[in-house]
Amino acid sequence: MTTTLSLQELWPKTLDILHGTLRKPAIAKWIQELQPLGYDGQVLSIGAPGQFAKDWLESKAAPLLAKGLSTEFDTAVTVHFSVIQLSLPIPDDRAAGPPPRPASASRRGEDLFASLPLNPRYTFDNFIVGKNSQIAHAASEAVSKTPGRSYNPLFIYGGVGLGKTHLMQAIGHEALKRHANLRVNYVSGDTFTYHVVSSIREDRFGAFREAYRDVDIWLVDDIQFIASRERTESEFFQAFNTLYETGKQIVITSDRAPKDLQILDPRLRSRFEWGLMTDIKAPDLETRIAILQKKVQQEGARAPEEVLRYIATTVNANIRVLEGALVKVLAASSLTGEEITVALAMEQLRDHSTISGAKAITIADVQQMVIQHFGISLGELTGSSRTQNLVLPRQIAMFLCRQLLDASFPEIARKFGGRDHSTVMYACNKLEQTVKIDRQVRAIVGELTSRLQQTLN
Amino acid sequence: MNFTCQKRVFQEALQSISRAVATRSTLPILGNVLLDVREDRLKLVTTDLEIGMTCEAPLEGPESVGAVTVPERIIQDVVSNLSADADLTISADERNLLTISAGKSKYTIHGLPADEFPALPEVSSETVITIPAPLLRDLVRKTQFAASTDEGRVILTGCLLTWDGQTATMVATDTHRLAIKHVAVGGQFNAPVSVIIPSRALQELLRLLGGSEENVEVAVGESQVRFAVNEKFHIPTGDILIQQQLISRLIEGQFPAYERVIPPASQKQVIANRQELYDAVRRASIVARTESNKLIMKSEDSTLVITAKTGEVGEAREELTINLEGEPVEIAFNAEYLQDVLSVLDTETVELGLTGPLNPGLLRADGEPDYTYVVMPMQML
Repeated sequence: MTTTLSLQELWPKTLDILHGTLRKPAIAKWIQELQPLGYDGQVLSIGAPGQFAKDWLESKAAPLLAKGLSTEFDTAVTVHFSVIQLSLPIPDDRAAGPPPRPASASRRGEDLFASLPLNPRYTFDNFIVGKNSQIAHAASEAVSKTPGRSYNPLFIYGGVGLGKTHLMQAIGHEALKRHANLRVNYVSGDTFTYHVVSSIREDRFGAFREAYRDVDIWLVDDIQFIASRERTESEFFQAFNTLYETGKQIVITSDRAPKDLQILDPRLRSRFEWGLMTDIKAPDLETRIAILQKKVQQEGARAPEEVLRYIATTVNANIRVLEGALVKVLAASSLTGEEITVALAMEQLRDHSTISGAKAITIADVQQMVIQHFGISLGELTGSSRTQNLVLPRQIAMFLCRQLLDASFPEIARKFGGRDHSTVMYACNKLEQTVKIDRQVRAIVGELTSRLQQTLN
Repeated sequence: MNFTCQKRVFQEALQSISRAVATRSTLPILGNVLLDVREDRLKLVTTDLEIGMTCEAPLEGPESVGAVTVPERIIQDVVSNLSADADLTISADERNLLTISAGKSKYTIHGLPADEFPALPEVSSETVITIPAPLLRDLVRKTQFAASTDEGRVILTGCLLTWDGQTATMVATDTHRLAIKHVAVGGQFNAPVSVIIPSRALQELLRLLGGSEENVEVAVGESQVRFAVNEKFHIPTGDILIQQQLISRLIEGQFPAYERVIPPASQKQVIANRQELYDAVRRASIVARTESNKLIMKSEDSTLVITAKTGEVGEAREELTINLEGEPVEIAFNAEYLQDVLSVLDTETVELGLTGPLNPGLLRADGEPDYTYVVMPMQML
C-alpha cells in the first residue's frame, strides 16, 4: 500500500474528509475550488483559491486531513496548501493585512454591529455654549447641517464630563432631523474594539465591514480606547478611509489631543488632523451658572440665583459633577421640605467640594512635577540612562504614580519610555525601602506628594 | 432663469455629465443636476461627492439668469423623448419649479434650491498636463483594468499617475498583475507629479472622452485632479464649443514600489499573433471560468496548446502557431488576466517572456516599447 498510492486515489478521499468535517457553506465553496497540485509519496499539495482560504485551511483542515488520510491509506501523509493564483511581491505597507471580504454579509450582521442609540437629551438645544466650547459647538452645528462637507473629520477633545459626547450626539440628532434617511452610526471606542474582537473570533469580518461602511455619519466616541490595539486600529483605519473617501462625515471624540493619543499607526494620527480639531475646556463661572439654570429648568424646579452661584463656584471643573451637585441639593430640598438656600447647599456639598473640584492628575502631571523639582528633562526621566542623578527621580516618579494615581504597573511602564512592568515594580519596592531609611528622600517624596494633592483639590 | 436652447445641444450636455449622478445616495440632491444660467452660457453640474462633472455650453442671450437643481433622471427622460429638432424653452421660478416647453409639450418639474447643491472643489494647480485625448485614452485603457477592486487595500483601487514634464506614466496593479504605460506629453510643469486617481474616475473619464481628438488638460491639485476637454459639437447653424470637466478626489497614500517586480530579461519568448491568442484565450475561458479560470499553456515546437479543464463543464483545447525562442514552455495563467490585456492592445503580435512556471510572465506588445504588463502564473496541476 505504501508504494503505489497515487494522486487519483488520494484526491476523492481528501474531498470526502473535507466535506465531512467542514460544514460551513462558505468553506464548502472553497473546497469546490481546491485543486490537487501533486503528491510525492509523502506530501499532498493542494491549491487553494486565495490567501485567506489557504491560511484558514492550513490551520484548520491540514491536521485533520493528514490524520484522516494517514489512517485511511495506512501511510504517513502530510498536507500542504498553497495559493493557486500566485501574487507579485508588491510590498504592502498596511499594518495588518485583513482577510478578503466574504462574498456576502448576512442581514444579522448589521444588527450585531448596529449603532448604539443616541441619548434623546443630548441635543443642541440642551447644550450651553460658553467660551470653553464655542468653537466645538459651532463646528458641530456646521457638520450637522452639511455632513461630509464642512469639517471632515471633526475631532473634538477635552476632559471627562465636559460635553464631548453631548455635542457628538447632537450632531446625530440634528442631521437626522434635517435628512431623515441618513444612516448615522454612533459607536464608542470600546464597543468598536469589542466588535473587532468578536469579528475575529467568529470570523465575521464581512458583516463587520459592511456595517461600518454603510454609514453616512460616523460618530466615534472616546477614540482613545482603540489606540495601541493593532488590529483594531487597522480596522478603524480602513473604515475611516473608506468613509472619508466617499465623502461621508466622521466625528471623533477623545479625552486628549491627537498628538497625545497612543496611536501605533502614524497615518491614522495624521488623518485625524486632516479635518478640524477642536477642544472643549472646563467651563468658566458664567457658563457653569448658565448650565445650572438650564438644568434647574429641565428638572422643573426652582432655585435662587445665589445658590446656583454658590454651587458653580464650589464645583469648578466637570459638568457631570456640577449637575450631580445640583441634583443633590434639589433632592435634599424636596425630601426634607427645606427651602433651597445657600446654607442647604453648603451642608449638602460639604464633602462634595473636594472631590468635585478634583482635576484628574495624570502620569504626565507627576512626571512634570518631578522633572521640575530635579531640574531634568522629560527625555532624561523616561530615557534609558541609569546614572544615579536620573535613577532616583525616575523611581520617585514611578512611585508617586503608583501611590497617588493608583496607576497599573504596565501603564506606568508604558509612560516611562516603554519599559517592562517588572522594572516599575522593582522601582516602587526599592523606593519604599529607601523612603524608610533615607530622610532626604522621604522629605522629597513628602513634598511632592503634598504638592500633587494640592493640585488635586 | 429663462433661456432657449437647441434640444440636441441640451441633451448632449445632459448626457455627458449623467454618470456622476448619485443614483442611490442618502442625500436626495445628489440625484439632481444643477442648471446654472449666466449671461452667455449654460452650465450643468452633477456630483456624487466622489467625482463631479460639469458641462458648459454657450447660450445666446438668455432672458434671465439663475440656477436650480432638478432630478437628473426625470429631466433626462423628458428631454430625450421630445422631438429631435425642437427648440427648448427652459425656465425656473423662485419656488424651484423648472418648466420645459417644446412645441406643444410643456413639463413642470419640482426641483430643489441651487444653493443646497454641493459646490465642486476648486482644483487650484499650477501643474497642468496637456494630453491629446487619444493618448490619454491609451494611457488609461491599457492600465486601469489592472487596478484592484478590493476595498481592503484602497491604494491599489486607484491608478498611479506620474509626470516629470516630459513623460506621463500610469500604473495599476491588483498584486496579481501590473500594467505600466508611458506617453510623452508636455504641459505646464511645476513640480513632478505623483498622484493616485480612483479607478472609477478614470472609467468615467474614458466615457467622457469618447472618440475625442482634442487636447485634454489635466490639472493636478493637492487632493483633487481635474480633466478638462473642449468638444466641438456640430449643429446646423455651425459648430459650438462644449466645455466638459471631470473632477475627482485623489487617493491619499503612497503607491507601492512596483518597479522591482518587473522581471529582468526572460529566457523564453512566446511570440504570437495577438488576435489569434486573444480569441483562443477567450474561447477557452468559457470552460475555465466556472472554477478558478485557469488555462494551461504548453508549447509543442511552434504550436502553443491552450487547455482548460473543469469538473463542472468539461474541457477546452486550442492550438495556435507561435514563434518560440528558448526552451519549451509549460505554464498556467488566469484566463481573465490574459484576456484583459490582449483586448486593449492593438499591435499585431505580442511577446510573452517567461522564466519558469512559478515566475512572473512579462507581456509586451510588438512595436509598443512604452507598455509593460507583468502577470503572475497559477499553480500547475
